Amino acid sequence: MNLEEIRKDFPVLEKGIIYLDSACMSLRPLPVINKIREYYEQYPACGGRSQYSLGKKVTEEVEKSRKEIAEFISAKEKEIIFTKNTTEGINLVAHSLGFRPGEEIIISGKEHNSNLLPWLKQKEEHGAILQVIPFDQEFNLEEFQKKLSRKTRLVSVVYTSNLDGTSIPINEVIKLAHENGSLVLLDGAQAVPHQKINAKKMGADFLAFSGHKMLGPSSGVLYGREELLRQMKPFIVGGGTVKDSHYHSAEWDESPAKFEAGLQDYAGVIGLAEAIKYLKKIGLDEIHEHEILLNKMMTERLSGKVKLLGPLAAEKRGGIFSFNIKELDPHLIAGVLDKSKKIAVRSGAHCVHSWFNQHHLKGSVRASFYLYNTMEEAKIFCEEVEKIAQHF
Amino acid sequence: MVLCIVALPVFLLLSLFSVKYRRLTKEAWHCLSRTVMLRKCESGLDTRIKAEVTGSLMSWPKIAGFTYRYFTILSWLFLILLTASFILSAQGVYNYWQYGNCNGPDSTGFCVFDPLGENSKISTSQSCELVEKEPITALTNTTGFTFGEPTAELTIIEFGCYSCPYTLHAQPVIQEVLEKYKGQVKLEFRHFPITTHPWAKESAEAAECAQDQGKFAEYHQLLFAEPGTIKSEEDFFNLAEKAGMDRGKLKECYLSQKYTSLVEADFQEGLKVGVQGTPTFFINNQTIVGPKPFKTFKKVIEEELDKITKTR
Repeated sequence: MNLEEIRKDFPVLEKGIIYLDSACMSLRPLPVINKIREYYEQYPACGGRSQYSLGKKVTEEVEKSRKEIAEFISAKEKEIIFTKNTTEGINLVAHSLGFRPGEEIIISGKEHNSNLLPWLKQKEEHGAILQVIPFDQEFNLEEFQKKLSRKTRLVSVVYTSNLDGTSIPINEVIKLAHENGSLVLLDGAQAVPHQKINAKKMGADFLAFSGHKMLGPSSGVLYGREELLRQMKPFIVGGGTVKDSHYHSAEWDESPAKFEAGLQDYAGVIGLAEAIKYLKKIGLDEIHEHEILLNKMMTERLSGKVKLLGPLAAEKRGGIFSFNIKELDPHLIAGVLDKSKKIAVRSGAHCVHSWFNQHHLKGSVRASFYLYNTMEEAKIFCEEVEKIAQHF
Repeated sequence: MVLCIVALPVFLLLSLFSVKYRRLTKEAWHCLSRTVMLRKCESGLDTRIKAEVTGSLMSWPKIAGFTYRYFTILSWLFLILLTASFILSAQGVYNYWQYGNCNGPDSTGFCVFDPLGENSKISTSQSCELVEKEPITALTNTTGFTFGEPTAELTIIEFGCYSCPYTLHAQPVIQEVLEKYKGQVKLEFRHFPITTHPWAKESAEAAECAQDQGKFAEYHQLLFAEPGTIKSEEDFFNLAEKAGMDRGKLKECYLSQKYTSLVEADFQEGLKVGVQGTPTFFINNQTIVGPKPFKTFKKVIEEELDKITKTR
């Protein structure tokens, strides 16, 4: 990985900021920005419905992008649904599956609100039952096994936590769930951008992830097994979701069209495919290795000085370093880091309020890295955190 | 809470110039009102301000840490300073409105509303030596010519110089005062010739000589009416003729230096009561320095007339 060359692709870094909030929103490289620009400059038209050349070009680019994204996670093109973000993908599954009273949904104890609230809604509106599996340092597999029952219709868990970077034992969870006859939905927002995922091999029924956490524009993808998508009813309906319609009936289109209502964010889709090309060029293994290297250095230097969230081993936390300093307000720490050295970190509950409330914590400071972060940046971050820990 | 109290007026003031501070003003108000009701300030404004301040001090981590730990105390200090500054500013604005100088009627110091000091300019004498100031009642050795009705109860004592542009500048205001307060206020003119001004001392002596012919007021007016006309001793005599006086008598008086000691005595009396330059006015124990506007004289005169009325 040639960091110097990579960083040249991210113009915003010229401002001297140390960007450590990629778990929320990654930066975009020039090839992605140029690709989006290309759409708006060269063929800014509707896709999938126009017969003129510009429209046909959009359709062609969108389908090429769908192919690129499908290949990236080893899925079929018709299994890729474009969404606004991970949140929309999960909501789509929640509404399209349609839960009945007494049916159970299992989630982990460290879910982002996006993988908690859709199920709370199912509980409130349809009488579904929500089971929560403890997930502190590690996902409690034993408890998970106990909670699985013939009532369990869906296991919807976070692949890699946005709170502390810990991952669940995905293969075991999927295997146990499938043995129980339950479906599995993975929140892959923090996993897909950082590691190779083979949807087919992994066996998950659904996988939702976001483009904006993997160098792409604000966009999302929902992977769903072909046969499941075929059976599911669409969530949001409208233009592009039907083959035909009458005043009192409609004939739904095939998947993925029936799930992509209205005009899509074509620039977003095309830009995401370009981001995937960029990631593939650099290599996900190299990126993962780089993140672990930075995290290891930070962990070694700051352990004992800060209260680390998650396991001590950096390998188990990927590109996330979540911490607190004494009883200091996390927002204050983030504000000080920003003001002193333009270090951008996230602070607060990171939309995982339920876990923080359970643990009586106000929140944490979260530094998250990606391919463009350097060891020098990590050292500056450590220096500033050390100063705060020592003097505040 | 203290942070919100400090932030509110600061942001309110800044919001007059920039829209972005309006949102912060609302936040500060919201934060303050919640804190007063013993509820938590949810906007996080206090944390953000604290982070901004301490973060900007991180080049000196010990100072940043100190600021963080004692932030509440420092905020209170800042609030006290801010309040004091507001009070002083308000006082300055009032003084300017009332006296034409932010620092009060007897000051010639810099005033931001009168940057050129037009209301406070005085001519100072190099021979002025700071002596221990005595009250105005110490003016006993000499008396000056009095303008206005002699029976008027309130006396303004003016220390002026015929060659001083600021004494000249004050003349119309003095005329206005004497007209508006006719019968109530009189003005006693004392000589304080500025040594660096040409013909200052000589003009004072010539004016006193004019009084020998009962023409002090006329001569006084002429000396101010045509500034810069005195270029030689002959001009004093020419002016006497213009005032309808006996040229020869004035010349004789002037050349005899009859009033040199009187003028010098006036000057010394001025120094004794703290006169630093001209014009300086004393109205009982109140002092007005420089060519202040009419309203400044009005305020002081009204106060002193009130006192006289009450003591009757």
